[in-house]
Amino acid sequence: MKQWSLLLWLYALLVVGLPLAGLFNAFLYSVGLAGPLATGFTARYWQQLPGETSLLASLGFSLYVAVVSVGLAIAIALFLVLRHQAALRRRPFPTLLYVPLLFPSLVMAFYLFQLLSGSGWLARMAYQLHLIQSPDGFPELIQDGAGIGILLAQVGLAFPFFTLLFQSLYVDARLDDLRSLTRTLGASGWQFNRRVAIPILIRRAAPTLVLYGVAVLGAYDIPLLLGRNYPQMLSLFITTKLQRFDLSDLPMGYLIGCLFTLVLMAVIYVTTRWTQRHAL
Amino acid sequence: MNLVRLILFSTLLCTACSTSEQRDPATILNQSWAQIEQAGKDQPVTLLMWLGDPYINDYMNKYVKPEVRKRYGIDLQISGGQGAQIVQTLAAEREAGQPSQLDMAWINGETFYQLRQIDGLLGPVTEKMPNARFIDFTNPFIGVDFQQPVNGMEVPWGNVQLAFIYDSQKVAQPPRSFAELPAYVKAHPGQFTIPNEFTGMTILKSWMIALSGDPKLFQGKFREDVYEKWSGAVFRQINELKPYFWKRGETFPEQLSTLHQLFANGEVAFTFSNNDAEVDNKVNLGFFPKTARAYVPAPGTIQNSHYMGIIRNAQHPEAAMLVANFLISPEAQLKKMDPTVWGDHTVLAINKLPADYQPRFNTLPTRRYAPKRDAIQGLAFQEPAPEYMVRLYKDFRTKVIEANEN
Repeated sequence: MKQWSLLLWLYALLVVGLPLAGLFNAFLYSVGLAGPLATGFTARYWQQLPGETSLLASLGFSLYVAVVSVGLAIAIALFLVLRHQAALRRRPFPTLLYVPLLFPSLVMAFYLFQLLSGSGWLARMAYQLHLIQSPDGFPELIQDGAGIGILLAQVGLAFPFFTLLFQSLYVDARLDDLRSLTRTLGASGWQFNRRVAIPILIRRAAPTLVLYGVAVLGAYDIPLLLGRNYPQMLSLFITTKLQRFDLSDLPMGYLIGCLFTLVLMAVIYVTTRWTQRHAL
Repeated sequence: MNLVRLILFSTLLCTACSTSEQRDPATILNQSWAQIEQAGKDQPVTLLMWLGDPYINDYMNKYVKPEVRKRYGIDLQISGGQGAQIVQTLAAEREAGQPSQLDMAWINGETFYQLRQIDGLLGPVTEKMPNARFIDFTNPFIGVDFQQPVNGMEVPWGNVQLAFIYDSQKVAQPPRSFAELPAYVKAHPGQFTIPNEFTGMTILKSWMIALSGDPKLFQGKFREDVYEKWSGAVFRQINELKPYFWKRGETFPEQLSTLHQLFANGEVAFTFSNNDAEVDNKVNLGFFPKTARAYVPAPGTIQNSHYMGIIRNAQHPEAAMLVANFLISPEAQLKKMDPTVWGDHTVLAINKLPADYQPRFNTLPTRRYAPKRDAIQGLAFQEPAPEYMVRLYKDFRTKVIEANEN
């Protein structure tokens, strides 16, 4: 029993202690108490934070990508689960849904880069078919202002996962039986979906959906390959501060990283509490 | 009680991690070369370097590693990493009072500048190395790194110059000078862009010096007035040209490899390299078309050297010095300079070499797609002080990239 207790503490040290120590170290960087050029306590970097206008653009763009991509993926998954139950149970469709889950996000990003770039497969085909006059004529689908490439990659990875999740919850909650019951009470299919099925599926899946959204918010490799230099997603913005040529940028990079982590932890905590209180 | 146990365990863990002793740099450097050879034999050496080129990786893995093992019994372990990553690793180790996990690192001027800021290098070391006698440290492209005298604190390894690369089948007459570049870009929209990284910043520095017409302005310490005047001129020109850049200048490749990919796919007509001979390497690999050519636009581009730094708190500094000394041996430099191996220009002064080596350097297989070194030596600018790079990188983001939105 004692051995198990020790193992548990060791696990706690690894998953909580060390990340918290890292966070504390980042805080020390941000107040000039750690780092290669640290000269003692200073609030300078915190005071300079409001002047980081690119940070706001970065935050806004990251939220936009997270909300839109997770929202679209949820909509597609709900559509498939609620409107195409028969197809979802028929092979090979369920197996096909697992295929994108095997792709690391970098592979998905690279695949879309090859497919959709100005010199990609689709552009070349369109050019050969005389649909466009030159490769420039192909619409910008990656490294574009609206982040379409990033959204496509994120939705492509997320919707199969959400579909499998909702499908499992659908069976678990016996929604087919509930559907029959509401029909006998005179509800339409749309009313059942809107008032019964969607609330049940969303609330039960909420913690997973939020965690997925947080992961998208912190995505690195997909926006690195498919995004623009400006606005950048937050992880790229922070990495740029930490890995470029100016060591005096390090405290600001750590400060933003530290705040980002704290905000995400708060979001996860609040959402988890909320979903527990309103669980169905 | 459990909490006490956890704290005790953590303390034990930390103590266990910090038991290795740090060695006094003066004692290491006071040894004779014979003593260094003796102490460095049969040791492991950890080298951190950029691993982005298959030719370079092959040179290290298939030639250097077996050679140092054969000569000294050294187990050379190579890990990927560069620039700020090296600096941050060393800074963190120093804060933790740990000896370094690294013994040596492949560095460039901006990392040299950062490592000097944190006192991360062991030295002077070159005066210890027998093969350093073949290097002409009075050559300003070798003995001075980003306007900082090397003073033995890093070991020159190779010398390169920024080159423009184009596809001669698609571009009949590339712009032969920075002065011709704006007209060319306007006449060929969507074909030109600048990578937002080290090579891109080297282009901006070269462009800035070219516009000023006086390379001497950029020698010596950083000058705010010079920077403001000539970076402003470059940014004005780029912002005027942006509508004619790739993707209308709304975005720029974040990495040189991305630009190489765009060039290989034919999406842009130009890419660049900090190694004037890289085009041969990429054509030989089949990555660039055989019609790719490299050249240096007038009045010139930046030429610089890259170096090996021995880490101040290295655990195997003697072995690292043996490896560095081998890397600057005539044999290893000759092999590296061969365009079919790597094509990295030597840092050795040919006239200082033993008589039997001089003709071998002079009769190396010639570059087929890159310009001859003799032809571009007159078009070489010295690297300006590192602050130019730091400032250009920041200002390129705020005054060019983000200017789209402002």
